[in-house]
Amino acid sequence: MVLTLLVVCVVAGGALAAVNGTTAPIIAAMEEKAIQEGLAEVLPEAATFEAVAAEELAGAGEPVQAAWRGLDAAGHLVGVVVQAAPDGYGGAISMLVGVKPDGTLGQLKILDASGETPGLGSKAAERKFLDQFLGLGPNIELVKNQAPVGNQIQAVTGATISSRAVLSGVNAALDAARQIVR
Amino acid sequence: MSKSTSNVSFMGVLTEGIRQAPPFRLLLGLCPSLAVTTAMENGFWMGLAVIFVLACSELLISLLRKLIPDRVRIPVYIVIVATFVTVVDMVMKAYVPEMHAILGIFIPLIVVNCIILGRAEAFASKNGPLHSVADAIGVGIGFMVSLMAIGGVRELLGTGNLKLFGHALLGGGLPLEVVVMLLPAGAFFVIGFMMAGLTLLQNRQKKQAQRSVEHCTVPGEGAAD
Amino acid sequence: MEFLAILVGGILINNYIFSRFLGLCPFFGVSSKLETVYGMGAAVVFVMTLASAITWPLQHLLLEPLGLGYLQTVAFILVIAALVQSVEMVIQRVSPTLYAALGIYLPLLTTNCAVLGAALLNITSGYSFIASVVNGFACGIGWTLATLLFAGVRERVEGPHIPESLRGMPIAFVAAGLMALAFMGFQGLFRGILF
Repeated sequence: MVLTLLVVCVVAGGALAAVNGTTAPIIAAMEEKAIQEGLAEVLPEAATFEAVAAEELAGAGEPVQAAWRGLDAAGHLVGVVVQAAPDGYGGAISMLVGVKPDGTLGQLKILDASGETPGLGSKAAERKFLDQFLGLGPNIELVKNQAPVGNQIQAVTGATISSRAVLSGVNAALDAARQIVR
Repeated sequence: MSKSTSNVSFMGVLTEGIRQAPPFRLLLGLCPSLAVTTAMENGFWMGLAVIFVLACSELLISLLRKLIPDRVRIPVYIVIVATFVTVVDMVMKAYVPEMHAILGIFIPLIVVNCIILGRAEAFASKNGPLHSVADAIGVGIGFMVSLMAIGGVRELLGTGNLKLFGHALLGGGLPLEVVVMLLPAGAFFVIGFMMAGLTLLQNRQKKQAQRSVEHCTVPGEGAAD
Repeated sequence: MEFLAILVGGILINNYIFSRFLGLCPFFGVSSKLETVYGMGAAVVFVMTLASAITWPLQHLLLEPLGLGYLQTVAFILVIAALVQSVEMVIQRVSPTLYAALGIYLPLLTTNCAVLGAALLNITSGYSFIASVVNGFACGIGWTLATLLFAGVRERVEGPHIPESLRGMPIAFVAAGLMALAFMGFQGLFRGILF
């Protein structure tokens, strides 16, 4: 009786191990590819990317997960890309933030915002919202229902939490980038 | 259903399964019906996952039904279902990652979806493998259609368009943005009204059936009905 | 402070019924009478807290170190099933009165997506052991609160003043939707009060 259960469990475990052996490498390769494509998209001027060691990121804010230095063909620094995952409405929003050597923002790419409400919070992952960030500097502020001035961006109407989340990721990335470039 | 189902055809079991249409008829599988139906396509993939898990589980349970001692049958069913659920989880993560991220924890939660264990208990443990698979596919399709219907209504009202596999079905879309439809509240409303709609249809059919019976059994009273 | 956030989060902000859609079948199942809600609610809180306490070490001390993360679903659900079974046996022996009040609801908790859901969410949220237990407890309370409120409402939406096709389940769903709208008011609660 218990033997039957045990046999079933062992067979199940074996089957799962087999499937995992097949799918885990695919998943890992896919995640790596997504990051590489994201890096190229966010900092197109760079020819290669060099991962920043974890110790250098030790002082960075909590949403910051990883960073890369973007180098051109001659090996000069053309920018930094920071990967951040701030807490959004229904989970973390994973993003890549491109920062130029002068500390201003390059491109932004949202990797995963599946926790945000579709049609509402998900608008914070769209180009219309993200393009506001281009060229802005550290410590960006959020304004609601009015046109942004200077170092400000306007939140998506009805999606303040998602907008704020993206902003906090970007600000943390900007701070981290400043430390790295130094 | 007893051993006499050998006379019932594969299609018969399948169509009966579709007619059971959770969550509307059998009030089962509510959690995913509300949680993932923010878009029609999510309903498709969730339905597909459930069909796969249900079919494989019912098949295996039916094949093993004479070998599983009665006392451990529930734990064994659970392990079987959980294994197939994990397989679906891993395969979806590898091949359809965006959908996997959208469906989130509701993929592993398929294992406690009352539909699956319910059918295993009610059907697969008592019927042959072919009929069990028919039942699984039928109930699974019924569930998928329900999910897509709910998702379709919510997506259409909430965003003005329907998207399937990357294509917008209504071109530019309608100027509709009833955002509440995409929120939890909207899910409850849509299902509530759809259930009411189905009940209305059902009652109408019943009344029509009654009327034709009366018409037949009371000749002479005839015409204007 | 983190625990306060988790408590309020589990009960109000991310309420399992009105926000996360977990534990809906029993929500509609037992809310037709107020008395049944107390029994089920107590069982849910109890089992969710215990399940959180047991699945956390299972994940972090066994599955992850051995690289067996993909066995999470199977392991968790088996553990929960065993837990529910054992709890039922213990209660039956220790307190027949408690068993009479609670006993029939316990087996239903194995397939309650709220229990497995809480265990899974604890892991994905990256909570510590204590935070996981607090979260399990909080979400159980939230579930019970939602179901209690709903049972109160349901008692009022019965009767001939409801159109025939809406009677029973349909109007219950609409009522739940209205309550979900109300609970949305709790979103952003922390940003206003604590930050």
